[in-house]
Amino acid sequence: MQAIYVLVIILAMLPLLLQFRTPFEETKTESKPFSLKLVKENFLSAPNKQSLIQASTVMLTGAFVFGALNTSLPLYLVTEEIGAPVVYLLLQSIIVVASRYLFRKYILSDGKWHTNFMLIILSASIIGTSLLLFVTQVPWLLYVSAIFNGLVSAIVIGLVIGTIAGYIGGWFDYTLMRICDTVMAFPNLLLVIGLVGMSGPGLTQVVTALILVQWVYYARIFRGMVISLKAENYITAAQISGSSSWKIMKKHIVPNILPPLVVMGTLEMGWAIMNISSMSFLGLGVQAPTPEWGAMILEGKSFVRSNPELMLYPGLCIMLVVIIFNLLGESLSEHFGVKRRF
Amino acid sequence: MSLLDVKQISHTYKTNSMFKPHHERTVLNNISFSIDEGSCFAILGSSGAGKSTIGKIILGIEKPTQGSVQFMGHDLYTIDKKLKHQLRRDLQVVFQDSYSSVNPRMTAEQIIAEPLKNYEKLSATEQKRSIIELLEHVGLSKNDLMKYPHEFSGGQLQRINIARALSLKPKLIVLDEPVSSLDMVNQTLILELLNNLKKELGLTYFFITHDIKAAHMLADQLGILEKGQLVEVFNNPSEFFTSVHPVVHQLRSAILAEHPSSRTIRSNKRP
Amino acid sequence: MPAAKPVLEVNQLSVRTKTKTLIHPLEFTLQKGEILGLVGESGSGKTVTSMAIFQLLHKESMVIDGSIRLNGQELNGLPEKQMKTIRGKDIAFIMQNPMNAFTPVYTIGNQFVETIRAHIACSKKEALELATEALANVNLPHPKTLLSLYPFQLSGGMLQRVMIAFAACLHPKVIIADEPTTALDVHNQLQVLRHLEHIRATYGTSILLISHDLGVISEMADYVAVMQNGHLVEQANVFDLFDSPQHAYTKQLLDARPTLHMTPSTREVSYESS
Repeated sequence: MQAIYVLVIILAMLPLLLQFRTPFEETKTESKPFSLKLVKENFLSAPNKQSLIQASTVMLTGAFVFGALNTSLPLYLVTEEIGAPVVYLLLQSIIVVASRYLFRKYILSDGKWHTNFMLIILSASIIGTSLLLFVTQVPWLLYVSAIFNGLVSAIVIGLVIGTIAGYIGGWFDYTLMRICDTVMAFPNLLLVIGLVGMSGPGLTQVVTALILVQWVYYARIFRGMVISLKAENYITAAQISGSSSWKIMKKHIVPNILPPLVVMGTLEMGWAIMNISSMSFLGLGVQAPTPEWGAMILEGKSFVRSNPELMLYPGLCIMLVVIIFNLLGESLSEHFGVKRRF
Repeated sequence: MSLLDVKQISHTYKTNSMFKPHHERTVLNNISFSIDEGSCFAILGSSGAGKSTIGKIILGIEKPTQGSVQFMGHDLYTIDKKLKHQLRRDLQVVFQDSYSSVNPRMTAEQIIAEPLKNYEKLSATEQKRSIIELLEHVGLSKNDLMKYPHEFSGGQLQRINIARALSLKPKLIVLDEPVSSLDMVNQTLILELLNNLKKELGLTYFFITHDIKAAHMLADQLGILEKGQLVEVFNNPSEFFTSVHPVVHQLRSAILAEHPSSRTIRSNKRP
Repeated sequence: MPAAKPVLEVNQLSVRTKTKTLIHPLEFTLQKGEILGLVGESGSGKTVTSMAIFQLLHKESMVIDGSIRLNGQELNGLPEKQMKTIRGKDIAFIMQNPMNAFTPVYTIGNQFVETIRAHIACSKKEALELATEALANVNLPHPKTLLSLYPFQLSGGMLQRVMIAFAACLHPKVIIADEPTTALDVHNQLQVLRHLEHIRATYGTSILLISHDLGVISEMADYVAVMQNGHLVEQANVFDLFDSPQHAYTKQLLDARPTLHMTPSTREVSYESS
């Protein structure tokens, strides 16, 4: 289990290491005195979509931190007060507004965050919470990390296979696409249930089943992107410069597919979480009494008449996390200028 | 022996569609010409006449339906991969659209380094020095090394494309409408640059264009391409202005006036 | 210039964003039946000027100051609803790239009819007749067949001529042509310019012809305005501009042209019927 934390930390450090190409000196430094008007201007002004990145990033961080600090907090929310989620959300909003003001130095003149800074925030929050969890040995984030890693694996497999199929074409492409067609012919949830049924319940099994089923979708998407990218002039120019197919795929095709990949990753994360929760609800994934929302809903099912909030609150929590990932994905897609075709 | 020998090239596109009958479109018909080392052969033609196709065929990336292309004595489409890779370094290209010819995620340095990395084994400092030399040769500076394509104008980016084409010191450069998407001022500047480079480095050009003025600036030989056929080849470009061939006549009359006093669409009298 | 009232009067027009001034205050006028050529490099502000006249700039991020009068009516700040009736009918626009100007999934006729019916109350049949007539008037071959085609079935040159026919069919007072010939080869270029002249001569339309090609300006313009970095640096009668340019930038532009030194005798013109 420790290995998963380490993997997540390493992955989160990559943006930090890769990104220092524009120095901070280029950002415009503004030091205006604090005023409500300034806050309103900064938080509510267009392009407002950019604030979604910060909002979702900070919320995610907050969610992870809250989850880490107290394992029983989700249970507390579920079993005690209605007001707690509201307070939670309120706290998040304050953090967002405050950060937009406190870090106004890193907002560029057109309202966007300086790219490096944004990535640093994201990386720092992921690293920070992972370290915290590593130390406190709280399993809550374990599941999200596992899901995340599973998703990333599926995407990477899909990327490699889809890129090769799209670029090389020919019989390799044809064979692969037939395999994809076959897997896609089955409803994917059913396939996952089938696979887990065969292997037995448990988080690892569910995530593995997820990877095995999902890669085909990603392979298809990437293959399509690669085919349209192949028609670009700079690929021809690279061929004329003498670059081999592998080199072209590595240096020209994949880096240009990455922004859509990142966006897709964040959006698919929501789907993956829902899938895992569904599996747990069906009793096939994580087993009770480990605090996983799907499992909690399963437990709450028996009390739906007397204490409906036992089902409602975990559901709301799932919804919240999925919405956050969706917001993050949408704002990332705006930031990268990616058009959503999936 | 000439550097490039094009023999009876014909090229046809077939459409393989399940729903429509098989349709053939002849893009090039029996084209033959040759280019000597150090000279510039310009092909003049209107859009759709097949100019880009002939460029791709000469570059060795599209096999013609019929005919052969002899580059430095070798038939480009029958030699083995290894030899082709060796010949590749002497056959480079500059495309029309400067922005789509470069990977938007690579810096100018990386763009120009790519051919060098493929063929030469230079140390990092040697490579950087070569790249800076090339940049200065095309009129840019070493401050442009770390910039990305979107930070350059169309004209500057085209200079980077030229620098990349020059990096391996090729024998033949195919110029596929290199200045057509630039504005007038940049067009002249880039054409002058190409002319100077040709004289200085003894380059050979295959210059594809639809602009007679641009062709006139660089060409030693001028070929007229109309509907896939090479209707005329002038070994002296100024013969273009005296030829009685109907296609040439039409092209001549389509040239716009250089001064309002010689204009024909509107009155050329002073008010 | 005659003392008649100008069709288009632009006075102290400037366009600014929060961080940059795109167009510094400039002014020019367009008389009836006159062609004003607007010259400049890419990024000089030519397109922004035409967009400002058309009131198609993003109002939230750009501030447009100054007056734009079309036959006396002030366009700057006009409510969008009224501006919509003016666009297409009183002022028309011809774009640089004809391929992008048409919706690929509808036929040309469909789009033509839609445009006509947006401004004139008439039946589809009447609109189609008007469209056919408009195409025939500019000597486009087989107008009826042309209208039933989709944009991708026509070449760039044909599409541009269809676009000009579109623009002219409602007899606008002003046509703004933004680099109408840049994407075309020499044959089509000449056709398109002749087409524009035909419209001008027949309907007395004034044309704001934007181009970076001095050949186009030389052939078509009565007056020329030169733009550089958002400034209007020189304005003159076309003959005066070519013979004795005043501003350094104009001189630079004129010197930068590749010339063939052709005399009228080497330029023989053959008049074709279509």
